[in-house]
Amino acid sequence: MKHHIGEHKAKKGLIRIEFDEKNGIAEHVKITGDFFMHPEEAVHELEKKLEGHRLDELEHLIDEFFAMRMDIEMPYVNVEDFKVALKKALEG
Amino acid sequence: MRFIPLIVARPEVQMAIDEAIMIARIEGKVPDTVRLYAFSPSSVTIGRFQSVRHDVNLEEARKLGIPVVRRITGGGSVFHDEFGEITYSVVIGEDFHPFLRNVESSYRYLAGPLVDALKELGLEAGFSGLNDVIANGKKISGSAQTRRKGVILQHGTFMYSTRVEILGTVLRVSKEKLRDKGISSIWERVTTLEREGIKLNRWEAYELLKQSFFNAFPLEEGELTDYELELAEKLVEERYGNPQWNEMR
Repeated sequence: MKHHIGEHKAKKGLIRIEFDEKNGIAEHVKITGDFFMHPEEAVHELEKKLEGHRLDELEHLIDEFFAMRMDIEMPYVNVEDFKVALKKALEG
Repeated sequence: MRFIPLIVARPEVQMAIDEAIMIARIEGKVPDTVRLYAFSPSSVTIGRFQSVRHDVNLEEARKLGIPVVRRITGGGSVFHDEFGEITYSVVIGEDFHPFLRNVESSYRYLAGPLVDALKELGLEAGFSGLNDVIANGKKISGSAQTRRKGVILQHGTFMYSTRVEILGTVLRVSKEKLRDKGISSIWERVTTLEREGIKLNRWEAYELLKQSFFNAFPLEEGELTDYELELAEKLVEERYGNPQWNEMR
């Protein structure tokens, strides 16, 4: 099992994505940092969406999540910021 | 619009009161509300999504007797010095003013009285980025907000004589963030009234802010309702006084 962690500083706030890799699958996905997002529960829902999926599917799942959730507000943060944090985690 | 006079209490109580007011306001049981408060003992609040493991030195906090409580709002860590910081909070319907619909303009509208207060003291003050207030070019206040069902909760800090060096030992600031800001310590860009040459005690700082909020909003002094106090008590038990919430991520 390998622990991946990636941090990216968005225009407002740091986004940190971490997870364990087991047989090419992401487990214990955690998204933390000092960014803003409301409704706040959306962060838990995004973690759940990524949980248990293959590493090469995660980027697409992030895109899909935000495309479907038009109610989410993220001042000075955008979808790309989450994808950069993910890329850094995958490299690490 | 209601003003709740200074409450000095533990961090879990303060965070519970803010959320209780928001719930009661959403339910239409209380009016829009402004309050000022101070933390006792000195405390740290962390943002809704912060990681206890990465962002806080819990062991050091315990050693210093500084409780760490997770806020309902996003954003970063704040050190609430018992005798150096006053916190404000505003719970308000989005329809109170057109500026409140937009996140950026709402931060500035609701934290406006802080800037007015600093200017009254003769400091060069203004807003910076999304949610900071600066005095003579350095951060003196940060705010955080959340929105639910057309109601905004915004709370934030006002540092009059915060001992900024203490926070350095309790909080862990990521290298990524320091690199982005081009500094080696987060405290290089923070200031307090004291550091700017203005020495106020807690009551003077409180009266200054209170007057400023009364100038900006049609406030009347009031008190928390029994309903809000009951809600707050429940929230302390279930959430803000519970390690499951505070150490959840």
